Amino acid sequence: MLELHIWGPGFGLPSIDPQCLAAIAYMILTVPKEDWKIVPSSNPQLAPSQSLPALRTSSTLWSCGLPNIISHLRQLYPSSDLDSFLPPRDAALNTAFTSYITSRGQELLDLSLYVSHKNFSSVTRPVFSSLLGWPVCYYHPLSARNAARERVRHLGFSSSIDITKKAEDVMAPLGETPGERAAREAADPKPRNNALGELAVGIKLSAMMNDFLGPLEKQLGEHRSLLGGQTASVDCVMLGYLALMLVPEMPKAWAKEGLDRHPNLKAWTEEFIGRVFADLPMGEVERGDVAWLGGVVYRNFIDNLPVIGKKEKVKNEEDPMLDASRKRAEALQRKEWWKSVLFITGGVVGMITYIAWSGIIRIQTGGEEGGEEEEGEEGEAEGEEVEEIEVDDDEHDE
Amino acid sequence: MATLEKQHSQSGPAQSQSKSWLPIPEPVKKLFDSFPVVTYPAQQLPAGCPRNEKLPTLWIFTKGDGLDANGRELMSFNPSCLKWQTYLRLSSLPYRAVPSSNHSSPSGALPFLIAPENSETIPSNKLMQWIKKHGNPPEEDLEDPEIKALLALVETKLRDAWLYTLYLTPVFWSLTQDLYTSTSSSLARLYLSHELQQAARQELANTRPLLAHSLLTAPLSYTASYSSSIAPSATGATSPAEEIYADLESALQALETILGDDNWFHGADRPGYFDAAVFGYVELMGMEGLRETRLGEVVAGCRGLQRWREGVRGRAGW
Repeated sequence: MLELHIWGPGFGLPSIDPQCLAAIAYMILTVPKEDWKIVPSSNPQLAPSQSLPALRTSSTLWSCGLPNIISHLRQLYPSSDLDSFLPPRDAALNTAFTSYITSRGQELLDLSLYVSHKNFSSVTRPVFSSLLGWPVCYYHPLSARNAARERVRHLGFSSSIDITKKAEDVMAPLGETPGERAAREAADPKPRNNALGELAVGIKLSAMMNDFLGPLEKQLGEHRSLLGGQTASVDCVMLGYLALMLVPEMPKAWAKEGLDRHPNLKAWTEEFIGRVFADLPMGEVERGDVAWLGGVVYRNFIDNLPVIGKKEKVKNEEDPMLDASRKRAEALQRKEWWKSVLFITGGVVGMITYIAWSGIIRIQTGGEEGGEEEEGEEGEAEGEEVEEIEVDDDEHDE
Repeated sequence: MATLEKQHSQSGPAQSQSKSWLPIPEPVKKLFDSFPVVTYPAQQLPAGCPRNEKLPTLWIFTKGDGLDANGRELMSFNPSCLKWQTYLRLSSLPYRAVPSSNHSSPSGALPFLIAPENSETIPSNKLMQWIKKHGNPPEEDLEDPEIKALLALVETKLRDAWLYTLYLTPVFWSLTQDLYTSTSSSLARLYLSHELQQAARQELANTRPLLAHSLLTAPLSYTASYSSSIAPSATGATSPAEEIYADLESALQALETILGDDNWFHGADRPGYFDAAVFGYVELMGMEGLRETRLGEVVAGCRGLQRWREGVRGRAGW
């Protein structure tokens, strides 16, 4: 019995992840129903590559990620493989369109499901919360959102694409310098620009949707599959991305509106969803993570103990919960701390050197030589003390 | 010091005049007097500054002054720069290549072009329009779905393999470091190298969620094992190298199929933008220093693409 582990279900679809949806569609079309089941575990830690979708063929054998799953199924069910019978040119286009849809579609889904604060807080996050156990439900959605932001940074949408956002969304990243804060605040549209900013963002997003969907609409035409022949793996991939643009009911529905403007694609998506997602061999929800969650709680507890915490740090490398962004933030914070210590020390030393070199203090005091020296030293000492107090203050701030 | 003292004495009367409406405390005045205002004469423009150019200048990553021993223009070692260099040549537009770095670009990325007539700066995303207006580019329908999809293939799979090999394998120390960090200070060099590798890692992790974990957490020694092909582990996870090079092979295979027996892509009568875009990667993947790597071996094995590459070289006059 094959087990397909996925994220989901949610948004009225069997999965909330485009690659998982594609994997489901592919398996529906190629594997006999009695041979497999879907395990909506929503727990990437179960699979060795720590990502979903993952196909479990036996208790220890996994294939992770859609390409590996497809090539594995090709070995198991060679006669029903979708791509083996494509003519060479279509096989090439199959590869090309798959990477087109995956790269461009992912950016748009990131913007629609995660980066848009309204959509994220009112739809995506509640869906995640219903899928995940405690305490993962608190921080997985946020780390997923940060990853999505990172992916769309090059498009100029690094912060939020909603203008009407709440204050808590503008949480300052850890270890931010004043310069970075100023830059972030300057980049964020101010409330008074609301109407104009929202309009501009809306125009840009719908242009991006058209840019993405236009070629697909043209390629699909009136056919039943993207390449015009029989259904290939690229159709399953396209279904995954388009379904997540079409089906979820979002407050900011620009993705759906974009698909509405492309009638062929929309009709194709609706028809395909009805065909493959109607009757799914759903298996038991696997929650086999109690031990794992216990481990996390224990680990967090240990980490916060001042004495043992340090020794345990090495083991954290394997700790699935300490995600990369948190590690980065910590490193950044440490770096910032050292930087400020360095700057203050440098400043104090520089100031003292300058005072001693320029003889400012000597000019002020004048008089006897002996007294002058004494007073000069006292002045220096005082200066140092004041600066040290400032050092302390800075540390408290952080 | 002599000028400072002069300024010092000059600033005396000026301050005593201002005393009439705002008294300045003596220590503050003394402090201010030790920093007199000095106005220096205007600086000459830097020697590398463009002036009275007759040709459009294309600002790219290149070695030295961008010319070889015979005074011929060198190919850029950056795929995107080489793409535009080649496309300008294919569009019969004479230009002058200027060595540059990201910091000099208004958009933060190279290449960009400065037009001779009005010194207008044209970033790479507007270059196509400019070339269409001024040059004689081949007719091409870049809105065609197939071409768009194939371009996406080049910009993801070929680029990933390029980034991985150049930044996250030992090639980085033997080749990339010298190309992209031009400083003699070894400390600064080490720091810049670290930044470059980190950026490449982040870039790859963004587009490959499956590998994000191993890419971001693996120490360099792990990712460095590029030449030994790592078989998929019993646990089903693939190594970054394995996945990235498998993708590269399938992408190059797809390009070979699309090219077929034609001279240029899509049966055109002369090479165009698409050819230039693929050429940027395929040419550089076979460059000196990469031939022994897996990247170089994979690309050298593509006979059709190598034949086509020679053709583009000839047409572009490289």
